[in-house]
Order: sequence, then structure tokens, then C-alpha cells
Amino acid sequence: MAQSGDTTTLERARTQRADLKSASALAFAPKGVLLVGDGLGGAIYAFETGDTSKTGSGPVQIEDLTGKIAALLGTTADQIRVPDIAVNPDSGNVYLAVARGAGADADTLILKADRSGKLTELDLQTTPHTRVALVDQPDADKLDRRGNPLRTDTITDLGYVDGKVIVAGLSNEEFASTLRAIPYPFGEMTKGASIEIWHGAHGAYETNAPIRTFIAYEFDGKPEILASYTCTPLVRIPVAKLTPGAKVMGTTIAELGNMNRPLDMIAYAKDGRDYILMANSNRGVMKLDASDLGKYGAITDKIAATEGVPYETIEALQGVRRLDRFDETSALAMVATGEALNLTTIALP
Amino acid sequence: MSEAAPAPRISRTAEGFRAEPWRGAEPSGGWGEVFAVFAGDDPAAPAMLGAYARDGEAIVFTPRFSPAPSLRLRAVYRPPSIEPVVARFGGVPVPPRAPTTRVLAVTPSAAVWPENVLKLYVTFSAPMRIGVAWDNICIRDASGSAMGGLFVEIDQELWDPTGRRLTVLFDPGRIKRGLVDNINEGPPLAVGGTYRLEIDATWRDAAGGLLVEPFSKVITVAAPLRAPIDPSAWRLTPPASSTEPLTVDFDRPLDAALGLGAITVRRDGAIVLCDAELEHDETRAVFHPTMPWGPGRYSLHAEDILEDIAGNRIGRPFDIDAKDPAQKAMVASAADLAFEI
Repeated sequence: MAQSGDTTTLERARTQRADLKSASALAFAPKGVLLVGDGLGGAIYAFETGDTSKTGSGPVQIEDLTGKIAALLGTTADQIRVPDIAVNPDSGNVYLAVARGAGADADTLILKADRSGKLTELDLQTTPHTRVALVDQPDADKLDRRGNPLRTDTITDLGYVDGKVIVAGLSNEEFASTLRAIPYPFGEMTKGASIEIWHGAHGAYETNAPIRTFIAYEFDGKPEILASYTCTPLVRIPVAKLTPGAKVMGTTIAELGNMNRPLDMIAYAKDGRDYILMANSNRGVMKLDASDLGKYGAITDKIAATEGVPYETIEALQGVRRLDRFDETSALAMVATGEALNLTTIALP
Repeated sequence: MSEAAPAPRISRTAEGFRAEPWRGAEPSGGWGEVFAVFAGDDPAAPAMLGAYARDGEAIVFTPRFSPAPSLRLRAVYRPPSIEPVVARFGGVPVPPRAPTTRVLAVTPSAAVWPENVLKLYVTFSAPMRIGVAWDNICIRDASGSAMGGLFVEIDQELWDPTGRRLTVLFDPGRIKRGLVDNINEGPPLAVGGTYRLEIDATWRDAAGGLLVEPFSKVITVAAPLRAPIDPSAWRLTPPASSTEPLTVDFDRPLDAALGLGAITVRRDGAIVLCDAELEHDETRAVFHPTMPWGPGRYSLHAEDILEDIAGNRIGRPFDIDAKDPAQKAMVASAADLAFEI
């Protein structure tokens, strides 16, 4: 198959500057390794930040995040986008993917916020990193008349799960986007890890189903991902099934309400029970009771709008665009309030 | 007798800013303690990022990015034992740009779309501002009301690398048969309905200009397109001469991007470079050879990622009826159609 993305090649670049063309998704691997999804550049970067010891305590709070970043970078707030945030679990520092500029040619950088809210830049020149290319150089026939490739994969989420970097992407052309599972540390790979993800709609219809967001989750001691499709349901997929070239059908364990799309998820435990906190497009923030997540079998029959795993909506949390686990008792949220974007620490409900 | 220190001052250079004189060592907290440049007057805003250097008796600050000319910059220099020196720079208002950018095309180009149309593309004449698409594109029903919940509104938005072409996915949860949203809400567009796709002129391009004019397109909706693509239904018209184009007529409109990107002309397995265009509402592809065709056998190669406007592929429909063993066995495949010149 000539589809780009079939091959994954490794480049170890510990001295060269990382040439990020975009950064749409961030996540941490162990030992302070920051994973950056660069869809426009067709690559995943792993930065060895060395940021591995706890720094201070207390919450992180940055009001008017885009305004502050704009001031830092000498521009106006309308020229700043913050596609994703990630908390470094080792240090408690917050990393932000930032685009400076209005268009596709915006400068991409990674900022770090400490607990005082002070913002500094991650030096892409001196931070050791490795890189895996997700796409081949585009064929000449795939270029437009000015020699530009038109196809891109936007990386909607990525994460480190059981020794692998899982990458969810959405193509701007074909619908059947693929998931990739790349062993980390990145090794010499020639055959890519493209995985077709399928969705069985209650036993009636089967379709390709791009994954929008996911988290690692263990079921009976085995690593899985809990994922949400662009078409909404929450599904389970065992990591062991994510092998190159595989076609994998997720197991639907929850529907989450009409026309509701999960934006981001975190898992946590409180008072001896397991929960999942989920930021949604339409239904605010939901808290799912995950204590018995493993017992929900595949939803195969026609069901009500909200069946499967029980959940409650947390009314106090509005406008949450991104979530990450901050510590044992709190989460970091990027919250849109009117025109402003705030970074705030919230108690886990 | 020591020479009297000249009055402290801040100046702007082509690359950055200078504060002078400074005769001591670098402060323990770094140069930022004594010299910082701020974008604007917000006391809560951090100083601009940048690099500091010593140049004789001057502290030189080079901002990480060249500041936007419209910003009013405030440079603060704190020499020892005297009042801070403040200087202001910039603040040149950007004159409004006359609008020059417009919508070049929306595909599917046809006025009639199938109920299960999967996506649309909007192509602009210049790179656009990213991050505001969902505020500026909408579909209105026959009464003129804007309809919500039609699209996959992902924050990152699906642009081509130049920022000129936006891909808008209709919500697959409402298109895929058997899903809750499909059952409860129905498909985004209903058979027999008339809708208006609107793109606001207030959508700014990447350089800050408004669109020349708003864009609108009236769409009527026809029956869903559920059959897999069948290349045996395509009609090839081989070129009449070595410089004439190859024409292929399809039995349905193809996805505007994949119809160009996933179909190539090949000879002995190698791609024959062509300028390709889709015509007749994406139901025809025309391949103009960049070099004259030589006589011989060719093939039209369609990759297995080819989709029509409803996401059907060659040999496999968008949603497979799992209860139908014949459909369940279907897999998307590539196809080659031979022709001779």
C-alpha cells in the first residue's frame, strides 16, 4: 500500500536543533522524557528534559495564559495558540505546546511553567532528543503544482503506554486514519506500526474509526488504552493488539450522550475507588466511575444515549479544553473563559 | 578622580535593545534583574524572552522574536542606586489591510450532496488564520437557522501544510448507521432538505486581512451513497494524440483530495508525471502529461485509500453491514485499469 505513514524511520539527533514544524499533542514518558507530536513535520520527538526532581509544591495558576505568552513572545494574544499541555509527573512543571503566529507557518515552541507560573522556553537546541518520522517524503505526484504536499496527519493525542508511544492521528484527506504504536526508546524500525482501528456499531455496522483521545488503563493487570473515537463512544483496546498492520476493533463500553465529544481524559483514584475525568465538547466535565470498568462488556444492542459505565457531570467545571493529572489529588486544566484562556489546578472531584 | 558616569539610557538597535552604562558584574539573578523589555503596560505580564549579552559597558538584549510593530514596548533599566530608567518604543498602529483573500472553492462542487456526505474542503486564495474555523463556518437550514453539531470541531483543525485548504469532517457519529447520534439526531443533512453553507467574511487570513466577501453555497440533499466504488464502472477515454489528456469519467463524485492524490497514471509500474484536474463536480479526472505520451501500454492506478464523497472505498462501503456475510468479507483494494496509446 502506498499510503504515507507505512514506514517509520529513526533519526537520533542529540546535538542538532529539533526543527518542530508544529506541536499539537504533548505527553510524558518516564524519566522526564517529553513526547511531542509534530503532525505537520510528520514526526514524533522525545526530549530528554532532565527535569526529574520535584520542584516546590502548591498549585499552578496562570490567568490569561495567551496574553501572558503573547507578552513573553512579543506579540498580541490573537497570534498565540496553545494546542496542548502536559504535566511532568516527576517535577510537577507544566509544559505547553505553543504556536506564535496566525497561520500554518507559525513558529512552534515548547514553554515550561513552574509552580509560581513563571514561563521559560525549553531549549530545542540543547535538549537531547530522538525523533521518529511517521511519513515518507511525499511522492512527487502527491504535491500540488507549487511542489507542496497537501496531505497531513494532525496528531490529536499521544501517550506512553507499556513501553510504547501510542499516536492517534486524523488525516486531512482519507477518513480511515491510523493509530501507531512505536516502541520507546525509539529503535531502528523500518516497518511502521500503522494500525487500522474499527468501530462496531452495536453489532450492526462496522466502520473505520479514528481515535481522538485516549489514556492508558490497566484491566486485570494488562495494559489497554481507553479511547474515544471521533464518533464518540468510549472503547477499550488491549495494547497487545496494537501490532503493525493489525486491524483492531475497539470494545465499546460507554456511550456518552448525544452529540458529545470527549476532548481529554485523565484517570485517578479517590477514597479507594477508580475514576476517569473527561472534558467534553458539549457536556462539560464528566466523572466516570471506573471501579468496575472491566465488567462492562461490549455494548452490542441498540442502547439509550447514555448507557454503560455510570457517570456524573461536574457542573462547577465549565469550558475545560485540556486536562492532565497534576498530583495525587488535583488535575491541571486549561479552561476557556470568554475570550481568555486560563491554566488552573483543580481538586479531583 | 573617577570619571563621572554618563546618564543611564536605553536605546533600540536593529536586533534589540541596549541599556548603558553598566560597570559591575552580572547580577546574581541574571541580567533580567536590571534590564527587561515588556510588551505593553500590564504589570502582571512577564518580560519578553530573549538573550542577554555584555557589549563593553552596555547590556544588550535580543528578543527571542522580533516584536510585533504594533506593540507598545516598555524597556526598564535599573542601574544601581538611582531611579529606574524607562523608555518606550514601537506602538505603530498597523494600517488596516484591504481584503484580498477569498474562498476559491468548496468541494463537493455539486449542488446536490448525498445524505451521508462525509467531508467538505474549503480552499482559500491565501493562508488563513488557524484556530477560528468553527466560529466562521456554518450550515443554515431552510429557515435560515444555523445548525450546530454538524462537524467534528477539533481544536487543531485539519489544514493542509500551507494553511490554504481546510478539511471539514461531518460528524461521523451522525453518519454511521446504528450509532446513538445517528438514531436519535439523524444524519447531519436530511434527504430532500435545502441548506446553505456560509463562510463569514470576518474570518481573517494569516496576515490579518478580512475576506473580500462572504461565501455561500446552496446545497440540496439526495439519497445516501452506500455502494463501494467499482472501477469497472469508470469510462476511460485514452488520449487522442501524444499531447492530449487522458480522461476518466467516474460513476459518482470522488473525494476532491483523494480523487487527485490517490489516482495516478503508470507505465511499467512507474508513475507518469501528469497535471491532473477534477472536473464535472469531481466526476471526471483529466490527466495532462507533462511530457508527450509515448506509444505503449499504460494503467490508471487507484490506491486503496481512494474514497468517494461518502467515504466509500474501492470494494468496500463506508459502513459495512456486519450481518451481511458478503459485506463483512469486503476489503478496500487498489485497482488498475489498463489502456493503450
